Amino acid sequence: MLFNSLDFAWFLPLVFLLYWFVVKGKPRLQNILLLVASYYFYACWDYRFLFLLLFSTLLDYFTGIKMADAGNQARKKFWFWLSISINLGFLGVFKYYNFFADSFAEAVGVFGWKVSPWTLDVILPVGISFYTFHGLSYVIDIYKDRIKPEKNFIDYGVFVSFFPLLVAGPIERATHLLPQIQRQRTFDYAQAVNGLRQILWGLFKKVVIADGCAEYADLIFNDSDMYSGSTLVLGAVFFAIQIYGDFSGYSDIALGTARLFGVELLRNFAFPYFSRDIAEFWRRWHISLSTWFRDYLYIPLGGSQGGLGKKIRNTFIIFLVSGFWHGANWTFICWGALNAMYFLPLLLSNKNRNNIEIIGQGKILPSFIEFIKMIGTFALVTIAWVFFRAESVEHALTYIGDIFHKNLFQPPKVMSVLMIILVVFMLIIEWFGRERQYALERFGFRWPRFVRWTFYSFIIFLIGMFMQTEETPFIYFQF
Amino acid sequence: MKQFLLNILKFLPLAAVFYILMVIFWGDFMPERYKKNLIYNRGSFGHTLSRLNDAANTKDVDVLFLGASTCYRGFDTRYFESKGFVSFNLGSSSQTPINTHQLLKRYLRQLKPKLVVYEVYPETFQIDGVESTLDITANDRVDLYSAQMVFKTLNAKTLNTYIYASYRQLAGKNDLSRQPKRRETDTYIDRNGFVERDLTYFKYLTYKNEVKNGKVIKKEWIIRPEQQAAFEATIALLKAEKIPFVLVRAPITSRLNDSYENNAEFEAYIQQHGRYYNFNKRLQLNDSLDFYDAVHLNRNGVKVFNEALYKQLK
Repeated sequence: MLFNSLDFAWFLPLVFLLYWFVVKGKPRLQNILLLVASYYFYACWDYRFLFLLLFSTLLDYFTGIKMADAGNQARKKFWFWLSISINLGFLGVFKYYNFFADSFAEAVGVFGWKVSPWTLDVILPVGISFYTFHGLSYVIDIYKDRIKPEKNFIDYGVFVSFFPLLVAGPIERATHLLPQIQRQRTFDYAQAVNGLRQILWGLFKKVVIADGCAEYADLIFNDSDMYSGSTLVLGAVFFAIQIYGDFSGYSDIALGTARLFGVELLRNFAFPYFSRDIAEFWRRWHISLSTWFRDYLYIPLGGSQGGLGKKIRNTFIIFLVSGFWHGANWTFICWGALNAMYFLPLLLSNKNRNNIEIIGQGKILPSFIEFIKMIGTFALVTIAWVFFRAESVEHALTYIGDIFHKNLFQPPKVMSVLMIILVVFMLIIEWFGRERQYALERFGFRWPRFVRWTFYSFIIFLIGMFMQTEETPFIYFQF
Repeated sequence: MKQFLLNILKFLPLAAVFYILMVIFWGDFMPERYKKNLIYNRGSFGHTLSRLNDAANTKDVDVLFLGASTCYRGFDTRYFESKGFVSFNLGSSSQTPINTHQLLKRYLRQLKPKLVVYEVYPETFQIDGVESTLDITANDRVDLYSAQMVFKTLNAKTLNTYIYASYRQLAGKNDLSRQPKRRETDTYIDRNGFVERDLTYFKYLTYKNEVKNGKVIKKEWIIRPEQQAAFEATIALLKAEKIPFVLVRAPITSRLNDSYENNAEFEAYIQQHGRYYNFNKRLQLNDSLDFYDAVHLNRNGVKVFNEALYKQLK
């Protein structure tokens, strides 16, 4: 089931009403309801993969308990590695097997040997990267004695499969989400209204901005050899906006939906395109994944401590793994490597934490220098996105090469004034909301209620008038 | 919670009124390129406006034809008239079973056909019906039937167009009730619903979607459950009204037809519901000489097809 579908439009109010009216004040029943709703939500996509979700949940639930009950370190280690290897094994088979098989065949082909690899003809179970990472963090935290295992299977099941975050995150931590699932939840008016506002804004970003930009980005990327440099630049910018609108829109809907059930999820985006350098961008983009890698990979590897070589190694590892997490394709690995190259100079010159505070804090506009830095960072990020979007590394390189070789300064052939107006509208709202959790959080709060409600109605109108009418899945579903 | 629900109940009417006003404003004042989800084409392609206007003024016909463009371009009402039968062609562009069912509910008792010929082109079973809903909403009168049709094909486009069409009707802005008989190479046959295309021939150069590297791309008809349900509802309606009917597949080019691997499966399904004639099998037409594109018969093809159909019905 997609957030931007009519099915979800009846599913959400139904679960909401059952949750706050039928099983209100009974956390155990509320959690059973959430678990059933979440499994139904997942089954609407493909019920055959429910077993995988259930198996992954059972595995981590039992190994968590076994680790805590293990009398000695060796047994604890056994259960830990059992869980890790099975989790990564599933991920490896479903997501990476074909990539390794094909890459192996290509590699030996260089030496003249012809190998026909046996590849799996299976679709990627949606959300596998996300719920596997939920489970991994839980198991690692128990192994490191940071948390106690959850004994209640229903509570643990909700932690792994809570439907707002099930298919594309945010990647939650047991320390953050489990206590919220265990406690009594009371209805909070402000939280629920906040949730609705966030859903509205997320929906706008997804169905109007992301899907609208996708139309042009696809057009340009799919026939990139036909277009001028300026059109290719526009195509890359459209994709940059598309992926932001798509994923941050999804995250806003997920966070807003969770709020309707009295649950606060981890923030996933903090206006990343208003960043002044790449380090700041990565503190603001897909925050739940970046911090996951930081806590469970980068820091255990030594982080930014140690010698120059170790710093470079760790930076490359985390960005390459991050790229590989997105998919089994060399384009994602190149995207990760490019970001590592952007990031390294800042790290090595100790400038990676220069821009901690929000850009232009307390001001209407940024300074000229800040503006230039923001544009520069956006340009670097957009170049990297070309690798992310392209069909192959070769396509990405040709695309970037053509930008400079084919009429960069002539007017773009593909141009949508309407789309540009809508993107500017979104950026303005986001800019004025950048000091908040999400753009609409306090937007228009000084206005009379009637005016503010009319503004929300206007956003609903924009959605109705400019949304893509075909349901398009979120980009991150494929990861 | 009470406050929350109360505020939602206050907000929803405000949002609904604002939305309707904005759609009307947008429809009246904004240029076409900014009306992405408001497709109000009155008196446009396919002569739907004239046809539905004629349908509203026609009573008691012998034969009623239903279906998509394969219908209103394939069944020549003049031919049946020459044989002494009054007929009306209620086909419209991309008309799917959902649209057919709603149109039939509106016009059946008024047209009182002695026989219904329902053209079942499988393509119309695998599309959502939005295009046809937009076409009918803009060109027919807005009422409960069109509201049902919009609801069954609900999305932003059908909803906005329905709102705007309702406003135009209420405000008396729909002064245009017919369109010129001649539009590009098409001629509308007055009072009959049939549209005749000037004689042209199909060239395979325009056949890009079906051929790749010189080979026909094999595919399957994928039937939507909601279209299947609407088709069965139409059959039930005809049976309830005791109106005899035949199900017909008008010919399409053999190359396109053969590119579908599950024609037999579709045919078996249709045959369960009534007398069925598939003219792709019964006629040996020439893809180039008898068609003007991959799907539509040209004048020569229409003549051969109608003669064969008449023989069969007689």
